[in-house]
Amino acid sequence: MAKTLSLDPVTRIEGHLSIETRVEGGKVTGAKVAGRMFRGFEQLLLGRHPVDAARITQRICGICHEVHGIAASIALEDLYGLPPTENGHVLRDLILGLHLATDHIFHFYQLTLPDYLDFSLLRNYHGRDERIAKLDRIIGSSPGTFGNQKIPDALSNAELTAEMALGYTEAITIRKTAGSGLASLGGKVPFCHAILPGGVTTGVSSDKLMNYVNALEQVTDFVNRLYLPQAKALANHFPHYFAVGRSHGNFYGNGGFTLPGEPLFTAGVLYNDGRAEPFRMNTIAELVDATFLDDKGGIRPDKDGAYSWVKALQYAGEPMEVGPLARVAVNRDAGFVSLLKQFNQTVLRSSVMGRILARAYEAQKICSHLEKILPRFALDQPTINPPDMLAKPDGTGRGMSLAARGALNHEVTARDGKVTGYRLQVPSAWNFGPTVNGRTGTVEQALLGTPVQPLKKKGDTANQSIETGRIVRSFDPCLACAIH
Amino acid sequence: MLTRRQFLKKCRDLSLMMCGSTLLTRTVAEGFIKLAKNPPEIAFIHAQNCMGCTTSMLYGNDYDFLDFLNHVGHLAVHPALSFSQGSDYMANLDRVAAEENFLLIVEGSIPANPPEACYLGDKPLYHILANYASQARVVISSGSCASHGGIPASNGNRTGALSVTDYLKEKNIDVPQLRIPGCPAHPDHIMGSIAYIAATGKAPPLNEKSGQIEEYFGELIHNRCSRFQYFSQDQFVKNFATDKNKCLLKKGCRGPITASDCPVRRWNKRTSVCVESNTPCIGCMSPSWPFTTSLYLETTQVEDLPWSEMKEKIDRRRDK
Repeated sequence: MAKTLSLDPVTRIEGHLSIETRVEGGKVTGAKVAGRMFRGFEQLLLGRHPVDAARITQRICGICHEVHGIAASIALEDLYGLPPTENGHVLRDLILGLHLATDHIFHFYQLTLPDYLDFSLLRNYHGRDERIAKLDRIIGSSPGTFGNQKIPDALSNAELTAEMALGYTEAITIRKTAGSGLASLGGKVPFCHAILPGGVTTGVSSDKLMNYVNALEQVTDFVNRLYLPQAKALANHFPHYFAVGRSHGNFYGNGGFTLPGEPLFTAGVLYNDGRAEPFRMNTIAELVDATFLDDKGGIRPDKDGAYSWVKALQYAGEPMEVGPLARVAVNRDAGFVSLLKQFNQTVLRSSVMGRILARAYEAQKICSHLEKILPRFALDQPTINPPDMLAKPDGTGRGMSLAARGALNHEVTARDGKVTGYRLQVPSAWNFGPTVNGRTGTVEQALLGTPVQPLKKKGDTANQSIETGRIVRSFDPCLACAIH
Repeated sequence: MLTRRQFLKKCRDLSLMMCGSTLLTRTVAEGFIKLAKNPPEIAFIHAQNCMGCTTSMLYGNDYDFLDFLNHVGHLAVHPALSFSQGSDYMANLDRVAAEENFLLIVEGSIPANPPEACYLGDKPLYHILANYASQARVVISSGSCASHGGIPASNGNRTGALSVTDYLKEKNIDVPQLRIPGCPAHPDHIMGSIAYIAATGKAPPLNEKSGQIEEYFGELIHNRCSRFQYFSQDQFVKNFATDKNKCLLKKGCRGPITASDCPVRRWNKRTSVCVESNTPCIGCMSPSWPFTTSLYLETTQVEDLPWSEMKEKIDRRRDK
């Protein structure tokens, strides 16, 4: 008999998300992924000064807090015909990269680990590490938030649990350090203030740069010492998640790092039949059939057949998976493929553990990239090619960039110096879009076929929720972005 | 032992008796808060938000979010941090609300039209936030969206987005409130306010005119700006590339019309502050954020300068 289970709200993500799964014969046979909060950013920008988009769009998301500012600035540079200075490229990449690394850290420790660890085991820890005692106090004092969710297959080793759980607090501390580094280049975080079309406004003195470098070094150390090894440890203990959470297997990634001569990623598309092709913007379709919107963006909360605020994005008619795993796939990253081999994975495939591992791998890769481009910054050269705020551009500008959770595109259209159209194609819209034209959304597809353990007692849906939560979170959902 | 609601009703009756209106209810209610000695339980509800205010709090400034959890408040539920999910999560929220002894922090505006533009669990937030708010000791609006409507309520307001204050008025709920604007809210402003309540049992002193916390929002950014001397000497940034230290007013700086202690409090381990990155304050803590006029200006648009706006206000006040 088919049974419908609902997970609402999904916590430990950005935004408002509900998941409905249909379970039949011990497997998930149907899935509905619904985004549940709408603000209407594309319309809220209409009539404004184009450059305002660099500030306003950043506020789409407080987790991907720098990337929209960067994508908007690239789109505005296209609109204004305004090439950034080389220093502008360097600073922007330094901000983007350090932000991405810290975003990955947050995802692993704050959002993902509680699905795999039983934090109450800390009480059984008898080591001498005062930090673990402190963590135990924090967990104990806020049982409502950090209280035990029942994880049937949690790590049972108290020492190992304590070691990994320690990362939970260390991650908050290292992000604080990273925040200081980002602030010295961009004014503050979240929402770096200095990112404008043409570059970065900050007068970057050597002390500011040193503060950034210091933060970068500490983040790099954290990634090398804790994050990547612990992501590997997780993969070792939960290897079956290399076979769970498989999307359609079509991947799309953007470049994003713009410093000439130093592209960390290239843009491209990789289909599940092995075909690869360069990315073409006009191949993207934004479909609203299952969305509470009409073709013109009007709000239709009662629309027939609609069940989400997220639009369905399709590339040449195909739903795509985006994110760090898509990036290593599209770039045919040999380093990642050999990392997979350590876990007896011979093929790069869409999976829960593949995504978790790709994220940690990418954090390390980004950190070493940032160290490499640092010397390109020239203290005596301009950081920005400033836009003329009185210019009244006509036309369209496009900006391709990336967020931690995938490829990001902004498109601004202006007439007589006012915004007349703004389009946002955002990573989590690719992953969390609804079913349209018979093509299930990426995450919906990843949920299908998941084996479900029989319920031990009536109404106890915890096991299924854990499973759903692990699959959904491995995509690093950001619903504020997806819907905007 | 009275429940909070019963007591609040008594406060209201008392207030009516004393001055013929419910005006003093809040003052009496503050006394009620004072009585509570336990560290406060804190519940977060996310409305039309972006999570920037939570991110800001997690980054922290000098003071650490972990220390905050360790010493100041107990986190009852938080949508982005809670280990529980789905119905377990909602049960945790309902449990803490039923105890009627918690601080409610709302991030984001509340959409009235259509209410379906934001859900909490399986119900539109617009319909159920009132239940939680009426049971809270204090409702704290974290960030500009919750405090004043912010970006969702701007430029045509597509979803009938309301600030928390307007929402509670519409739902006829009288409960002590604090507004902590900012896009994002400053971590010290959020954690500091909660610490104040926890330590004293009272709301922090408010500015009479603005109704905002005096210590954080009692002074204009402009008056404490590190570049104020350049303003006094008429030295202004004309070109972002070459002028790195002068006054940013003529680029559209909202410092003269925005109240906050940002320039002295600074951000991210006190590393920097917006103006120090050589771009104008965009007034993200102002009730008018994100403004109808352009965020950035050129020197030729003198009539658009925030300073003229402020001067006009002062003149008008003088005329009265």
